Parts: sequence; C-alpha cells; structure tokens
Amino acid sequence: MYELKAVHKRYGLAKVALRKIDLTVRDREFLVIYGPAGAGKSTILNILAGITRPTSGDVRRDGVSILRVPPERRDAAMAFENYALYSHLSVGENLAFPLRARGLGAAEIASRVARISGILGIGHLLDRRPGLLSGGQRQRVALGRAIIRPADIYLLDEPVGHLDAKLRHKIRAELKALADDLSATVVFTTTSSREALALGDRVAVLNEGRIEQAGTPEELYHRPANAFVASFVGDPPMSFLSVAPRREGDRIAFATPGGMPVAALPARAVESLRDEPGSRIQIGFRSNEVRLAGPDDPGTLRGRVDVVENLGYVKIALVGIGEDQVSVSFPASRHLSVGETVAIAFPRDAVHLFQNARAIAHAAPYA
Amino acid sequence: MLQRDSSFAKEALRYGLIVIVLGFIVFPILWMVLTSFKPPQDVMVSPPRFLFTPTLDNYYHAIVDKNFLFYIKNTLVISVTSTVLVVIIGALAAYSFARYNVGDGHILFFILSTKMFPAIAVILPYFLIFRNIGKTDVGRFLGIGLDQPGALIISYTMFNLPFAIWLLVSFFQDIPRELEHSARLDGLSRLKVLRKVVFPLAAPGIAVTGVFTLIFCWNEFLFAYILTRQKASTVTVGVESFFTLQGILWGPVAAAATISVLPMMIFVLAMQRYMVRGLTFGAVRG
Amino acid sequence: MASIRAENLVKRYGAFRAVHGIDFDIADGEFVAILGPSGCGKSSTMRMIAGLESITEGAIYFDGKRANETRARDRNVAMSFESYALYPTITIYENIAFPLRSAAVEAREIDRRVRDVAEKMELTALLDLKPHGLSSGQAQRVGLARALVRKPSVFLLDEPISHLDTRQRYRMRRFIKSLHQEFHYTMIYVTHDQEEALALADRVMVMSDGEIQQMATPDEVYARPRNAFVAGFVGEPPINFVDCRVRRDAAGWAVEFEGHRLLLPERLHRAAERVGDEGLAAIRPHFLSIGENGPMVIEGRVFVTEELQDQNLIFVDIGGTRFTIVAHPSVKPRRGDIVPVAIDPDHLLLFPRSEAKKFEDLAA
Repeated sequence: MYELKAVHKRYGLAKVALRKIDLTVRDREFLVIYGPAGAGKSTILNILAGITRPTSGDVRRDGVSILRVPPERRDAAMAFENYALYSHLSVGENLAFPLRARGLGAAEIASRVARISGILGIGHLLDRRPGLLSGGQRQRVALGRAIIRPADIYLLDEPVGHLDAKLRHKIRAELKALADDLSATVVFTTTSSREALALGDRVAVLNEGRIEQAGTPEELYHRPANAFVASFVGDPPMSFLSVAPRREGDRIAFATPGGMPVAALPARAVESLRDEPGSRIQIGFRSNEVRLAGPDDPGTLRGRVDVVENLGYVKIALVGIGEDQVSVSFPASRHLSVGETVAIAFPRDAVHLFQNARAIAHAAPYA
Repeated sequence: MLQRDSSFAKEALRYGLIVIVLGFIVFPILWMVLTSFKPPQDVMVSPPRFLFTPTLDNYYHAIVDKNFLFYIKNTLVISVTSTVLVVIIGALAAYSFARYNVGDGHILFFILSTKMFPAIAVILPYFLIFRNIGKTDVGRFLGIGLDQPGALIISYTMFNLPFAIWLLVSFFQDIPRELEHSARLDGLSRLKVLRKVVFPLAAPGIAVTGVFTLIFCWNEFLFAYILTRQKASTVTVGVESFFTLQGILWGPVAAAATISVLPMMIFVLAMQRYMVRGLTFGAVRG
Repeated sequence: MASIRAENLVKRYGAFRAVHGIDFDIADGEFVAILGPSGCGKSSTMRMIAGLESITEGAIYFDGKRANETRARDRNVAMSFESYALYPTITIYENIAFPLRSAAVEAREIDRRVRDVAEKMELTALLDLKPHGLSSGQAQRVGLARALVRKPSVFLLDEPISHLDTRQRYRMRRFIKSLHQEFHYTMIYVTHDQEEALALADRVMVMSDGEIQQMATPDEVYARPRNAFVAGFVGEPPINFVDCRVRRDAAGWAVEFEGHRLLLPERLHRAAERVGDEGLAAIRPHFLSIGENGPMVIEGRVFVTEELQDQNLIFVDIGGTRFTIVAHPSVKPRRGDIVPVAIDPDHLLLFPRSEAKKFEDLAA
C-alpha cells in the first residue's frame, strides 16, 4: 500500500502542482488519476516513482516513509507520457532493457519480449529504431517496456493517449485483463472519462492540484461530490439547470426561474440544502437519464433545440431552457430540427442536486 | 516548356555559383599541394605553372633534413591528450550543468566568459607560470614546463573546455529527463545510467565536440610558439621554422604544410557522418 | 459564402502521392467533415482548398470559377490551425485584428468587428492580455475569432479541438456547431475523431490512402458504410469484424464463422453474391447482446467487462475473434464466464475479405 500524506509540490516560487493531497494506492488495485491537462497527474506518478520529491508531506509504503529511497531502489515500473524511448537501441532492446538491468537470462528475456510485443501488436517492429516509428507505435513500446517486468507498482502516464481510437479500445481491454491476471498495483493517468471509468477499480479526480473526489467509478458517476466531478466524469458531461426550491408538503419542488417545474425531492433527502439568499441551486442530470417526452406527457420541461449532434448509435439534442443549455439523448432514428420546441421528461427522481457547486442529494438511477 | 527552361537556367546559375565559391576555397589548397611537388625554379613564377616535372625533393628536405615527422608526433600526443581530457571533463561538467543547473546559469556563463579573453592577453602570465612550475621537481616530473608537452596539454585543455562545455550542455539538455528516470526505475545506479543511457545518446554530440577540439589543438600556433622551443614543438611551429633568415623555403614549406594538413583531413572525412548526425542531433520525443 | 467543387484533385510530393485524384462537391453553407487517419491526405486536401498548397493535377472551383491559380489571400478563406498559431508578442485584441489590419480596413470598423466577434466568443475580458498563459480552450477560441473576424466565405478548421479534454471538447464542439447554425458559413472540418465528424457535419467525407472512401450524411456513413474501412473507422466502440465464408445452399445465403452458421437476411443477398467465397462480416457492438433472445445465439468466453456506468462494454472471445458488446449497466459478467451472445442479423454488414487488409495496415 502506498500513501501520500499531505503532499505539497511547488515548482520554483509560484507554480504549485499539488496542494496538500492525501491519496492511498491499495495493494493490487487499478487506480486511475483523472483530470484535465496541468492538474498535477504526472507529478503524483513522479513522486511515487521517487523522481520528484514533494516540497512537504510524506510518501509511505506499508506505513514506512520512502521519501529518501531513490528510484532505483523502489521497484516501480513507469511508462512516460513522452515515451522516453532509448533512441540508440532497437525496439526489442528497449523492451529488454528493464529485464537486462535485472540480470534475467536470455531465454527468459526473449520469451517475455515476444509475449508483450504480441499483446501490443508491435512484434513486427522489434528490429527497428524508435526514431522510425509512428507516435502510436512509440507509445506502445513505452507501455510494453513498463509492463514487461514484475514490479511492486506500475505507474502509467497517459499510456494510450496517442493511439487511434480502435487501438486504444483494444489495448485498454488487454491492459485491464493483464492487470487482473497479474494482480498488479497500477496507477494510471488519463484525460479521458471513458478510460477512467473503464479501467479504474477506483478513480481520483484531480483538478488544479487538488483531489476533488476519489472513489469507485460508480460513486463518481452516480454520486459526484461537486459540480466539477459531475461535469467531468461521464461522456457526454452532465447538464445543469438553475432552479429555485419551494416547499410542497413533505417534498421540495424545484422550478426554473421561468417557473417550469423540474423535479421534486422528499424534504428528508435535501436536509442539507441551506436557505442562503443568493446561493446558486442547480439540478444536474445526464443526457441518458432524461428523455424527450411526447406532446402530452405531464410535468415536462420545455425548451428550444439549439444544436443536434449525431453520434451514430444515438443523437444528442442541446436544448436551451432560459439561460441554461442541457443535453438530452434520443434514438438516432428520430429526427429533430434546430429551433423546434421539445419537452423533456425526468424519470422519477433521477437527478442530482447542487448548491453552490456542492452536491446536496443524489437520486439513485437504476433503483 | 517555359517552366523547363527557367528551371534549367536556375540549375545552371546554381552550379555556376558553386564553382566560383569552390574556386576560392580550393585554390589555396591546390596551390599548396602543387607547390610541394615543384622544383625550386618553378615555385615563384608568375603566372603559376600547372605543368612541371614533379619532384619529391621538398618532402625529402622536410622529412629527412628538418625531421618534420617529429613535429607530427608531438602534435599528435598533445592534441589527442588534450582532446580526451576536454571531452571527459567537459561531458561531466556539461551534464551537471544541464541536469542540476549548477550555479543557476551564472557559473556556466562565467566559464563561457573566459573565452572573451584573447589568447594574446593571457599568454604572458601562462609563460611565467609554466616557467616557474617547470623549475620545480613536480613540474619536471610531470613534464609541465616550458618546452614540455604538459604545458601545451594543460593550456589547450583550459582553452577548449569552455566552448566544449557550452556545446555539450545543449546536447545533454536535448536528452529527455524521462529517459534517465526510466532507467533508474529499472534499477540502474546513477553512474550506470550515465554509461548506458546518457553517454550513448550524447555520443554524436561528444563526437562533434571532440572533432572541434582536436582541430583547434592541431592548428594552434600562438601558445605552441611561445611555450615551446624545440623539444615539444608542434607542426605549426615546425612549419614556421622554414621561414628562415636566409629566406623562405617555399617548396619545403608547402610539403610540410601538406603533411600536417593530411591527418586532419582524413580524420574529418572519416568523422563526417558523425558530425552531421551530431549537428542535427535530437532524441526521440513526440 | 461559396460552394466548392474539386475535379480529379491530385497532390504529389516528389514521388509520394498524398491525394489520388478525388472529386467532391461542397454546397454553399454546408458543413463537411473530412475524416481519416493520419496520412490519409485530409490535410493536403484542406490545404489545397486554402491555397496553401499547389495543386499537382485537377482543379478546384469556388462558386463554379476555377481557383487553382488564385492566391491564398485572395480566396477569402479563413483557417484555424491545430496549433492555434497566435502571435505571442501582441495582445489578443491585436491578434484578432491582425487579418483586418493587413487588409487595410478602417480603424473604427476594425474596432467594431473585433469587439463584436470577441463578445460572441466570450473573449471580451481577455482582449488586453497577451496569448501567453491562456488555457488551450481560450487560445483555441482566439484562433477561431481571428479566423472569423474577416467574414470569410469558406471556413476551414484543422483538428481544432484535438488536444482539449473531454469537457472542453464538448463545449468547443457545440460552439462550432452553433457558429455554423448562426452564420451558415461553408465549413470544412478536418479531424481524425469520428465522433466529432458525425456530431458536427452535414456530410462526412471519409478518406484513406489519398482517396475518398465515402462521402455521405453521418447516418449513412454509420449505418451503411460503403466498405470495411469506413465501417471500421466510424463508430465508438469500434465495429466487430470476423472472417467468414459465404455459402449458398437450399436455405439461402449464409455466412459461416468460427464454426457457426448464420442465415443472411434478404437485404444482404446481393452483397453476398458480390463478395464471393471469402467474406468479412461486421456488426456494431450495439447490435450484439448477452442473452438467449435472437435468431442466432453463440457461446463465448468473457475477456473483460468495462463498466462505463451508462453502459457496459463486454469483450467476449468467440473462437479466435474478440467481440465487443454494448450492454446495459446491470449486465456484468466476469472474466472467464461463458455467456450466450445474441446476434441481430438485420444489422450485419458484409464485405469482401480483401478489404480486411486495410485494417492491418492501420493498426500497424
């Protein structure tokens, strides 16, 4: 188990990469660190690897501080975002490098190189120099070099970010299977919501050097702690509608500033909603949690179609409601025109409630 | 058709220019080589004669009478030793400047700034220093004194290091840090990382630096002239000794010059591949 | 505004042919996405339209008038680059004003137009800053604003959002789409991201190896791909391919793969005839399901289940072929489980085996 305790990292005087974060990497878990570019993802990996030392805070392995342990004595394997291939060595020699450094026998090295290069589809490139490879090929060599040897922890820095969609899809599955089979401890960074959800046993959402939320994909997706996580996890992003609350018996009803009712939640569920003048209350929902209603569905929300996007298997309408714009997915077979007025129906309670960007309540989606 | 013609004219112009430029560069060398084979009576005639009976007398005079190969040997020892020292010290220094930013750039600039002094400004102190060291037992033992190879080796090393460091720093900076990090994570110690990853990657840059240093040492005249008399003299001083009070021995001068240019020419041609690679050096990134 | 037509357009760089003689028609006000992998010729095509690249053979017509010899700056084409290409030494305001200044527009008119476009692009607060320190989304908007301020007749975008994160991409993508809806520029959008192409464009031009593989509406390209390349390149998760043998017997046309036999619907009979013996069957992950319902059910072994929360992706090995299945989030088989896979033959696609070659090249 690895722990970051109040780890703070500053570069130079002004640039803060990590702001006193606490993070645990459990044994044999696949932890994804997910955040926008510049959030501090690579810094966490570098600190775990021992390449970078935190400005303050502690790094522990099984309770013992490893701050002073140099990288060569940490038994971490890392794939770097910029590949870091040895340009003076062939692809095969690059893959064999970590094994040679550990003094493995030639036969063992050859069999491992063959296995890994097969999985990653780079078997035909073994004799080439990295300089002659495409970006996607280099990235696979970098990934292969990291996962070729047994290691206490694997640190993979956006290892599939430069692959084309089809290859990314394929290698993602291979990576997950491999990590399962080896019961490996993996820390993986990405800027893709889809990758984070697909791979992670747990996902830590990082933003501007802070961990916004860490939890299982299910928790992040269905119970995001705040509006940032809600809008960042899930593809397409969650939509938000500004609403005003009003008590209706034992329920609190929420309506748009224009007076259209959006949803009603049991008062019990929204206890933590505070009565603060000027606070911003928003209902959040995902495009697939709502649907386009028929003309006579009751209690529906009306808006004007601003944009229609075709994703092939499904279409997404961006519907303008007052100042807000929300996305609603609908079957690809249906046709909608820009400018058309549509009604949106909420399945009962399938909403998230936020006050000043903090989550107040989540209604269970498939319950 | 029109396009064809204009491109033909362009090509012709291009080759014309190349020929003119080559003329300027090649003619002095050609003159030197031709002169080295000319009998004395053909040397200084005007217009220069391109048809003559070649003779090896000049070479005989330079090699046998003047013992010119002795200068070659001196130069070889001094230049190669200095170059090896410059490359080793320079690579280590440049690496630490590139990676650890030693002295925050100030020391690096200071080192480079020593290049601002013209050699002629420091030659007198050097002369005095080496004269005094040469009188001590240590100086005699190490061969560091006037007219000793050690004096020139130290001077050349001192003089070439700043430029070598400055050149090498950029080569090391071009090697992504992640390459070293990756190798350390694979379990290599820092020294092994240098040996197995950094130096092989910087090899083209190191080769370029070595070539420049060697050429400089080989062709250096001022220090060699002031700091040596006879025992440790180099080729440039050797050639100069043909300019006697009785007159200039043009034929033997040309022969000696040709002999001293030859090793460098062969060397540079052999290293050309590395030089080009070194000058366009770049590690694998994106 | 302008319509664009290309006739037998060829681009050669020395001996290398980047574009192999393509023809297309882009209507006035249309939004066309050029979609393809790197090296397919899409950027060369766009650069020829912009006038940044000479045309080796063939012709380009703007509004029916041959434009091969028209200089880039006279085509009234605006282009936004992947790398933003902002001038670092001048303010955002001056960056946006730059194309107007070089066109010698009157100062008051410049000011009006810069402020106008800045407001639309939500850049008003940034006008006095220098580009250094802008977020990538902001820099991209400045790049777009600079392209728009000239009121171009054709608007070219070269991978404009490829390095933004998921959230910003959605935002910019919708922004670009609404720009088109509002101003009806003729827009040409180059991308390697099939989702962007489908989401944005009126028509998608799929390119590979310097040739147009298909040019059609997003629906068409997705549901009726003209060849295996288009089928494989368009769609997320990617379509499943399996080598098959095409047979005809008393029961009708059928395909055999991995020891199984699937009767083809009538819709595919003509394709089956054309394909010959060696076929490549394809089906989208959305038309496979885990369960016993369907005209054809095959057993497979689960390789991995990816829980994307809104849907689960289940990778199932059937014989030597790995299939991806999109399933409801409640369906979560474990690695190694044997599951029944139902195939909906109505959505099966059939291609000649020879077209499979293109994927191997692509994956290499």
